[in-house]
Amino acid sequence: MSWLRECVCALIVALPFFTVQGPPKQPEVVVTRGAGGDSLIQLPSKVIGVAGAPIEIKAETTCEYVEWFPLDPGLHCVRPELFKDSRLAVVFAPVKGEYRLAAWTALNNKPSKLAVVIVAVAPPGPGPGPDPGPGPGPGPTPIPVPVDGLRVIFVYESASKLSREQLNILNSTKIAEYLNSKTVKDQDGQPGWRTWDKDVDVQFAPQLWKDLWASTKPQLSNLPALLIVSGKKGEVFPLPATESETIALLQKYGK
Amino acid sequence: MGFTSKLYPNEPIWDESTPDRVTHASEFGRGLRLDLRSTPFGDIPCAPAFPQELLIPESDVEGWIKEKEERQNRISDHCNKFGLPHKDQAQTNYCWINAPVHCVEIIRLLQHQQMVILSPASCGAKIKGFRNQGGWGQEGLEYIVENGVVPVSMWPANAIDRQYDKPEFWAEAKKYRVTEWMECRPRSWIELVSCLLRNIPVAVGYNWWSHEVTACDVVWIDGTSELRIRNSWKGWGENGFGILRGSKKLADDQVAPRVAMAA
Repeated sequence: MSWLRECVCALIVALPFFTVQGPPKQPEVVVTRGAGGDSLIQLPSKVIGVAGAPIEIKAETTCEYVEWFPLDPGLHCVRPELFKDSRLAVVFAPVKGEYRLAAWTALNNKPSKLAVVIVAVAPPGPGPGPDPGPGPGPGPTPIPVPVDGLRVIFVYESASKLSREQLNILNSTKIAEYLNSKTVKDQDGQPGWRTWDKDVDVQFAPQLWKDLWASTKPQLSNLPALLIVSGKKGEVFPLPATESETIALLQKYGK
Repeated sequence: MGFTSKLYPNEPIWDESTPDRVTHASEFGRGLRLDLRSTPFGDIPCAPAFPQELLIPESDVEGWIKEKEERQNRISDHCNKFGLPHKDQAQTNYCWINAPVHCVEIIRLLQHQQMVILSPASCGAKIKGFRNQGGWGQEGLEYIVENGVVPVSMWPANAIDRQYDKPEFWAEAKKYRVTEWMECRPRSWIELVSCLLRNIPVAVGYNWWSHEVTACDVVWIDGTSELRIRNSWKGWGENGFGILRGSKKLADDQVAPRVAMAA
């Protein structure tokens, strides 16, 4: 089934970032049939959500496994393997707009037709308002993330001139020991934190780290910085001034 | 009395007075062949020269060394604390590829990625057509940038053997590529020091030694900055670490990988 996945993925041109601008709202589901599909799979025609908030979509099918694909750039699909039931998809979009999400399944080696749902994303807040603008303002910006537990990414530019104290923080064995003990372990047992150049190539990184990086990188206007992910929310901070301030910041999340 | 670095207990210190019978002991492999190098410094498009804005003023060097030693955040501290072993080239002439491969392992350690021990012979054998020949660091690093390194779990560290040359192993090697690196001016001490104080490991080749090793730290001895290297000789130094002083520390070939794949 991977050939079809590759074809559909090729339609995705870019992955913009997303920000949470208010409390998530439950999506409204318009219960009519979506475009495409067949007797094997059907989707609702339209689902409505809020920019930056998770939106749940369920496929109607008796088949065991469903593949999901955003057809339009700007719509992010949370890794389906995180859910026990692959008929459920959770998506995010950073900005208001209408996006297409496709799904398909297969039975007895016969693929279904592609089913398509429209994901309508409204701006955050009580009513329609002005666009939030292209970038984060000063201070931490929340990032919704699909994973639990404490994870951290320090981000810097290895070719730029960093101060002595910034280098002390990025190379601190004290911080390393703290994070080795406090962050959740990856599947291979590696503690859940990284120190990466802003241009690091993540194509072979575990999917979880790819997802985190995809949501983090667009928010990195000033370097060095650090992403702290705790629970299901991530925030990007400028690198604190000292090693002890960095540890103090991490301790707020690592209890 | 001024500051002096505290050295590791069994760390050898080599300087002009160290005899050749010690530095060129026959039980250890070496293999630097800088005379074979056909690309002069600055002529390699994918290896930019060390950017001058990263230079650390000589007047600041002692303070940096002292602070890094107190905070234990040098490359050797990371290797010792988190258990990255040194390379062992055995009797091969592959020092020139052991050093850049160890640099990749160090960078991965500093990026806090899974510790994967990599096989220098995988690259060395391919570059040299499966012959046990000398080479130089830039030659090795250029190959790593392009192809990566196969883990020792697939290709033993010193196996110059075609039986391991499999497409699936090279597919795995792609995870262990270097994506950013630079070259320091030959024998430029301050460029080397500036890399190391920023925790950028450097593969350094020495004509006097016909050998290539990994430069890790700068230490301060008798009012002068000196070099801590990590050798690819089994049983040498303290966990592979030793000190080069005086003219012995000035490297004829200096390549510095900075960023490895996030795999």
